[in-house]
Formats: sequence, C-alpha cells, structure tokens
Amino acid sequence: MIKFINVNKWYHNNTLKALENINIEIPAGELFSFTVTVVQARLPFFN
Amino acid sequence: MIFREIIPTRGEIYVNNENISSLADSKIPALRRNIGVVFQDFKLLYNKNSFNNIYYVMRVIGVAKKEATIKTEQILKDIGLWYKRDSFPHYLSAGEQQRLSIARALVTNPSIILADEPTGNLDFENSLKVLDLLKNINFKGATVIMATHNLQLLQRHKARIIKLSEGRLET
Repeated sequence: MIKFINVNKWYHNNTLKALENINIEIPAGELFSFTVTVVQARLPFFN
Repeated sequence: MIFREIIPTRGEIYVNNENISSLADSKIPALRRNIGVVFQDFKLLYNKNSFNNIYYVMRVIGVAKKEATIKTEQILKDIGLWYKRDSFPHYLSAGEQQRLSIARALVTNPSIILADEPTGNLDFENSLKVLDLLKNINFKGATVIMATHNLQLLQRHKARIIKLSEGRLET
C-alpha cells in the first residue's frame, strides 16, 4: 500500500511547485499508471 | 519520493503502513530492497553480460552462489532472455535491455515496482512487450506503478490511470 497525504514538493526557494496537495492511495497489488506533464520553470523573458 | 530519493516539502507518504517521510536514514536500505526500480535509460552494467547483470546484483544482496545461479536462470527464462544470457547489453536491442533491467528490478522479489518512463526509448511493439511483462509481474502480486507520456500505450492498458499536470492530480 502506498498513500500520499497532502504531499507538496517545492523547488527553487519554494517558487516552483512540482507537487501540490497530492492525496492518493494505491492498494497493494494494483497496476497503476500516471501520465506526467513536465513542470517547467517560468523564465523571466517569457513573462 | 516513494523510493526516498527525495523527501516532500510538506505532507506524509506511507509505504506498507510506514511513514517514509520521516524514516530514519538507517531504515532506507530496507525500504529500497522492497522496491524495484526500472529506469528509462536502463542503467545496466555494460561490462557484464546479461546473466551477470542479474547474478551480480543477487550476490551483492547476499544470495548464496548456487541459489543466485538458479534464480538468475529462472528470471532470464521468465522474461524470454535466457538465450541471450552470454550477450553484453550493447548487443541487445533496446527492448531486450529494458526487459533485462526489469528482471534486475525483480531480484529482491519486491512488493512494489516503480517504472519511470520504461517505454521512453522503445518503439511501440517493444513498449507493448514491456507493458505485458509489467502486467505479468502485477499478476503475480506486486504493485506496479508506471509513469509515461505515451497516451497511445495507455489506451491499450486497463489499469487505474491518473494524470499529473503541473503538480496537480487530474483523474
């Protein structure tokens, strides 16, 4: 069993949120996939 | 995070009822022995043949020589690479290398397999073979978690699927 409770992961002095309030439970023996949209840092010249 | 490579900024993560967010460093090896990890770029030992890529890991974790030999043979047969036991990774196709890296992840008989973009370097046909292998592992009782960008592959794959977009879950 894997359980995430309100998991946050921030980088770059808390300016880049890689994970935000993740709550999920994966029971033992489950086949499970997740797709990912890559988190991209916002560079100043794009803003 | 499940592997305790990094820790969350905030929140708790439980693996088999143990809070690994606050796990003592001394307990991390035991956690990792229970988790098999499969990487996109295989991370095989390129100076060792297929047999020794598995056998060597078994010996490192303390399996006796005779048992390691028997188990290595069994694992290579299970993934259909016994006939390539003497081949070095560079002489294997990308699909075969990935199957070998999955076999290596099974060495410790883990209850959890983390597959990080396991089909990222493979064509569609080999991706399906890898997916079938992961499904078989799951069928034998292990939890299998796979990250992928390959939406086409997911459409052929009946499992719980979530999307993580910019750090948030989209189910």
